[in-house]
Amino acid sequence: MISIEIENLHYAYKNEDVLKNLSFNIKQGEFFIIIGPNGSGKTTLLKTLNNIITPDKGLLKISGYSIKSYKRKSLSRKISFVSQDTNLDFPFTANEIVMMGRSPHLGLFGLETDIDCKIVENAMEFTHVSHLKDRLINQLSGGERQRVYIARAICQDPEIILLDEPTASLDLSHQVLIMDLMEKLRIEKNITIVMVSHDINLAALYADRLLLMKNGEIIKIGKPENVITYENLEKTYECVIMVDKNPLGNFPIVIPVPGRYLSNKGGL
Amino acid sequence: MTKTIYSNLLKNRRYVICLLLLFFLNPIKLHSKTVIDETGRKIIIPEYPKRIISLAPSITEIIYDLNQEHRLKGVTLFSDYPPQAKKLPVIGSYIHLDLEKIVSLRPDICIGIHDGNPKEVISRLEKLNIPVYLLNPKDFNAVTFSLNNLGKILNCEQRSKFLINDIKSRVNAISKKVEKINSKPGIFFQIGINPIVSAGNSTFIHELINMAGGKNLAKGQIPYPRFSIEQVIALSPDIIIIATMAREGGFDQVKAMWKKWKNINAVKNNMIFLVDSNLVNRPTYRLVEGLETLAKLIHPKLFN
Amino acid sequence: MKILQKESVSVINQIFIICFAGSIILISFVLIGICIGSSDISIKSIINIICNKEELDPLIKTIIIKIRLPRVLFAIEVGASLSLGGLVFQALLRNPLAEPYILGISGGSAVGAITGIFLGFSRYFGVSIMAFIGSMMTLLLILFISQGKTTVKKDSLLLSGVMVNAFCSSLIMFFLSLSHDNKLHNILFWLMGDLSMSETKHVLTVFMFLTPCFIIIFLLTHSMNLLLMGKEAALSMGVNVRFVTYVLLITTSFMISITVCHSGILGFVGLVMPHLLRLIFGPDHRLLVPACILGGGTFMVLCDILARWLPKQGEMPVGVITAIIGAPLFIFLLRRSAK
Repeated sequence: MISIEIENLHYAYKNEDVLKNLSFNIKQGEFFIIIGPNGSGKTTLLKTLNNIITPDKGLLKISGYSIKSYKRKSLSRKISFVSQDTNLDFPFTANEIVMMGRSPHLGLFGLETDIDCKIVENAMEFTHVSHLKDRLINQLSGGERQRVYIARAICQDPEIILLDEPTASLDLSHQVLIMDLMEKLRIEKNITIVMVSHDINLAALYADRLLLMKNGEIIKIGKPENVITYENLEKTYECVIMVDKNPLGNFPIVIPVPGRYLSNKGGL
Repeated sequence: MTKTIYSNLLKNRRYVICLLLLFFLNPIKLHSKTVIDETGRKIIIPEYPKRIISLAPSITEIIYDLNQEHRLKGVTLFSDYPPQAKKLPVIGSYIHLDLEKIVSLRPDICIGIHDGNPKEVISRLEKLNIPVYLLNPKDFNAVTFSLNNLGKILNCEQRSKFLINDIKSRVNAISKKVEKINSKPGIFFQIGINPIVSAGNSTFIHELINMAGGKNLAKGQIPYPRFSIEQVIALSPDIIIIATMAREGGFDQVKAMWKKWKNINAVKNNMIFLVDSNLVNRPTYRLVEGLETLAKLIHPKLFN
Repeated sequence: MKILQKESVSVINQIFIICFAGSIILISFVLIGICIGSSDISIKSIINIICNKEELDPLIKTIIIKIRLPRVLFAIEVGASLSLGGLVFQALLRNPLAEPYILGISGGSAVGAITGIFLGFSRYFGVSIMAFIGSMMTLLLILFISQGKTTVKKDSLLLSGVMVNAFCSSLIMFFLSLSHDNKLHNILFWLMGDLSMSETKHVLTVFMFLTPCFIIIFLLTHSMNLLLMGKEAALSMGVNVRFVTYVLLITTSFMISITVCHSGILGFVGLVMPHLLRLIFGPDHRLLVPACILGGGTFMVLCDILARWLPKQGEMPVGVITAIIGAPLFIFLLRRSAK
């Protein structure tokens, strides 16, 4: 089943084309990761999927219906969004933050019931932050904060979760932890995961399909082993890259080549 | 004795009953009168006001001048003349009146100044059934006008007429001598030290200078114009008169400041004087004293 | 340091507790407020009037009901409105230094009021209406400058508010330099803030305008909580950010303008009260909005009481009291949160 359908998506910002006529689909329950250099339009693309940014032209359908036909609140029951780490000045507890994730299902005042409390509890258990529930959000570490935000995103009970570089400022163990959580969500609840990542190797390990972008255009879309080739990557990142096979299995692994290995003519 | 009175009353009982009815049914008409204040408003005040509140220092002065201070129950801040007035209860300042204090003193009339006291307080007082009689002192003649009006409403016309006549005769004395003068010296009347402020056309000071036979160098549309030192030097006044305000003190300092500019006539001839500002600022009986003081300073040979 | 633990008490119950306790404290201060004044009135007389017994002296009834009571009620309105305004702007701009005047309202209304004073209007209606027009015009100007693609940009709002206030300050200085004694006094009193001009009818007018504003803001409290998470997070959680931002901005500016045009510019309440109440009740706006209304009102009544009680004669400007209490309180809160 198609979760997200995009046709001729176009978006310009301050007279510059950021997204140029993109067309592709994402299936329900897929782990879909968007990679590409800085400024390629990855984050902008992600934000259009949630209507945080409204494209100038093109068709965007969620579960078969145009995104414009969704009201803000009903869209938030379908899609949730985890942005890059933002620090808050206001002293909410982790529990209160996660509870906000139930807002799309609550009334005007956001009055929670016991069921909502249970859902919040489960979500926090899932992301291993239950022990932090009464701690203030601005006292938590980067990794803990990210997991709280993910718990909040889970509470929205969505069909699709969008994540913007969730592992950017985390150390190795937390990076893997979060990717594992996403995989678990995908398998257990058939949630579509759409992620923007700067870490190509990590993306290759987890993604069902990758989207490689440059300058607002699709360079290649498909399975990791098809997308991650040295030709594609060198064209996109404009540097010398080796691609090998990951010892863990049939996953490509990317090795950027330091200058000292290159002769004057280029190449090894 | 009482028997005769009683029998008389019984004989004329119809008339007695009528009188009694009139007395009780129309208490207002018998004990109050309708007057028009100086701004043209019609107000109803008691025939004989017993509890007066003054809403400006000048009004306090006038009431003392009219010898009616025994009826004065409240005054504003800075009601410092005569000194006895300082002992009366204070009802706030001229600009910021204390409504509650005024009401608690149970006045039957308040006397205020149009464009001086805030209009809101006046209307609130009237809503609480306290009549407010407003004076509108625009020029020197207004002083005699106000004295006349207050004399009428405070039932002391004899005294007010005495004061008015006194003012008139003193003013006449001065104007007769001044008529004969050929040249009028240029006067710079300084009321502000920093910045230098003088007095223009619509002020008492301007009028007094003219009446005293001087030429007000700050004349013009602006009531309180500002001057720079250069401008004053360019005017080269013959006499500089400085009015004290308690807050600015230091006459000697100001005099010393002017003394630096030796090309000003007033400095050359040592004609820099100090005058009590309350004599030339307040629309009261003392204004004529202010006039006399100025006349003596401006034409010392004529008036001494 | 939260007094009410979320676990055990639901939000609605907490709101009720706040309203109940807050009202009791407020009413006590109101009673103290009507006992203080420049004329000596015994507490016995005041109790008689409250219990509607026959009071021997109608003058005392007049003073209590027509002079003291409107003033105290007006103080509640001013305190509530300014505290709530500070709270909403702190949430909208996601900035803890935001206060009700930050979007140019103080500058605009002061310029309007001074223009009215120069034109010779009396405080009601003339000067008040000019003040209101002034603040609404600055609001329009700032909204126009801060137009963003999807919604107002909060950084533009802040910056343009600061610039407008600075510009208006210089205009005010200019006007002050032109004016002499009489008008000068009027202007200064307006700028300092003054509760003494309040009559019953003004109290009622202000109440009529403030109540719908309070209700609208209260209905949007949950959205305010979500707005604090950032524009994108709020959008993702179902908040119509553009709509909520505009409604809150316009409603709050209107509420503050109505207050300021009657009372002049009273500072510190709008900055300090939200922080103080946040320290006690936490950052949830569903609790903070009723707390600000009742707490802000109580604070203002307290300041008014002190303004009338402390000086031997007459009264101090209320703005001075709010500053004397507010500034050290704010420093204390700052140090506490720094720990």
